[in-house]
Amino acid sequence: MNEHDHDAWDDGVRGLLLREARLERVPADARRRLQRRLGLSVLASALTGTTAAAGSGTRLFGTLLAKKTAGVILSMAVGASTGGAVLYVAETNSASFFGAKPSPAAPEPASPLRDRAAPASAPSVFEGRAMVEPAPELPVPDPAMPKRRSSPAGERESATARGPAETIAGSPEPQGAEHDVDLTRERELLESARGDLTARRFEEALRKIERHMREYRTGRLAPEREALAVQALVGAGRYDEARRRGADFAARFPRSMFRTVVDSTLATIK
Amino acid sequence: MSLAIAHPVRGLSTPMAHDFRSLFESQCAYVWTTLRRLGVARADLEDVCHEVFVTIHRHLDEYDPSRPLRPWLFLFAYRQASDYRRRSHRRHERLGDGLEPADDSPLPDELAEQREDRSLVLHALDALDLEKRAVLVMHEIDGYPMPQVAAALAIPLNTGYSRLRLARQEFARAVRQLSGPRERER
Repeated sequence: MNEHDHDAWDDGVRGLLLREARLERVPADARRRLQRRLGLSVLASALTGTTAAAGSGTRLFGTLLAKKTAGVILSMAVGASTGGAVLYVAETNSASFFGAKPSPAAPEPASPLRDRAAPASAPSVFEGRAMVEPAPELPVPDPAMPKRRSSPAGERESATARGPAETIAGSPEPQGAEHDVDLTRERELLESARGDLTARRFEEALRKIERHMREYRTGRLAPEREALAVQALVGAGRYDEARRRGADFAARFPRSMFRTVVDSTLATIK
Repeated sequence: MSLAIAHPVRGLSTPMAHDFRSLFESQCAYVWTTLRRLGVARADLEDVCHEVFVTIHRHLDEYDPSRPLRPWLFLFAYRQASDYRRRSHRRHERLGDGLEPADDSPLPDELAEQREDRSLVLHALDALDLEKRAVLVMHEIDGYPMPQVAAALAIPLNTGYSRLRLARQEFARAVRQLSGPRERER
């Protein structure tokens, strides 16, 4: 890079990219359409009993159902197929898969497979956020995903069933701009602690984790903090504390996506 | 029949289904924006984004939870963008054609400059090939350190730095060329 390029980069380009980094959004209507299509695609894979089936076939399935014409095509399929009831249930539940539960007051759809917009009278948490927050999204936490675990068949877990300290993502839902700002600060603090952990500066990581605990005891990233704490304590050789904190984690966040990390970390203690 | 109905319903109640929903909720905007930055035309974003999430769902149980999520997601977006660009000769729109269109809802006046900046960034990125573009986006916009970028894209670290250096040069040159006319219009 010659000097001119370097000057141009320093003076203007970096600022341009920093501003771009703050623009992270998806149009609300596109998000809703995606949500519906994905619900159907994922459902199609559930119908076939394998996630591997969520490829081109389910892509076509999801895409078709997202089109206005799909209702007609698939209604015919429903009428002609013994699997019609399954498809009906699939479509009905695809809405609730992403939180769009039909309202009892909502008009009965003419076709069970028609393009269904969530009634305004019954916005889900998901739909509500999508509709009222078309503005750029602030940084969100990087939730880790768990390995697949078995769960009791037929058990449909709701956010409220997890208790106030934990939702589906293992942490409370944000409630507004103030929470988003807090979330950004929470995330910065934990990212810094994660960096210390990676560099094996365990005590420094623990210091930041404790600071997070003081400032955001019930913050949205509390499960992530606790998982990092267990990792840092094990790294520092404070095994008894790690076990206690791990047990506390399991009690507070039994279905958290960080449970796997905590369990595997504790399993490394000799 | 009742069993046939019950199974798909149960399928939605697994932890993985909830994880996927959570992932979509929290990361949809990131994937969408990343695809745009990787050169997917606005008209095709929804379809490509759908494909990305379907693929993510298929690989959900392969995710290592001790790793940051976004670099993992970036790789899916990168691969889909790569496939998309290979098909792009059949596409009716290219990012470089015309200005970045307005958002779905009119932006307030104070955001006009923001939109103009975004248009400039996207057009300048269009001057880069996908490999350099991916490195620039991950490092300069998403803010990931180069070792993490190289690991996510499965390239040697030196290759990553080389791509970054070239990407910066080409991007800065494109910004200069594109912002020249813009400055003159003011």
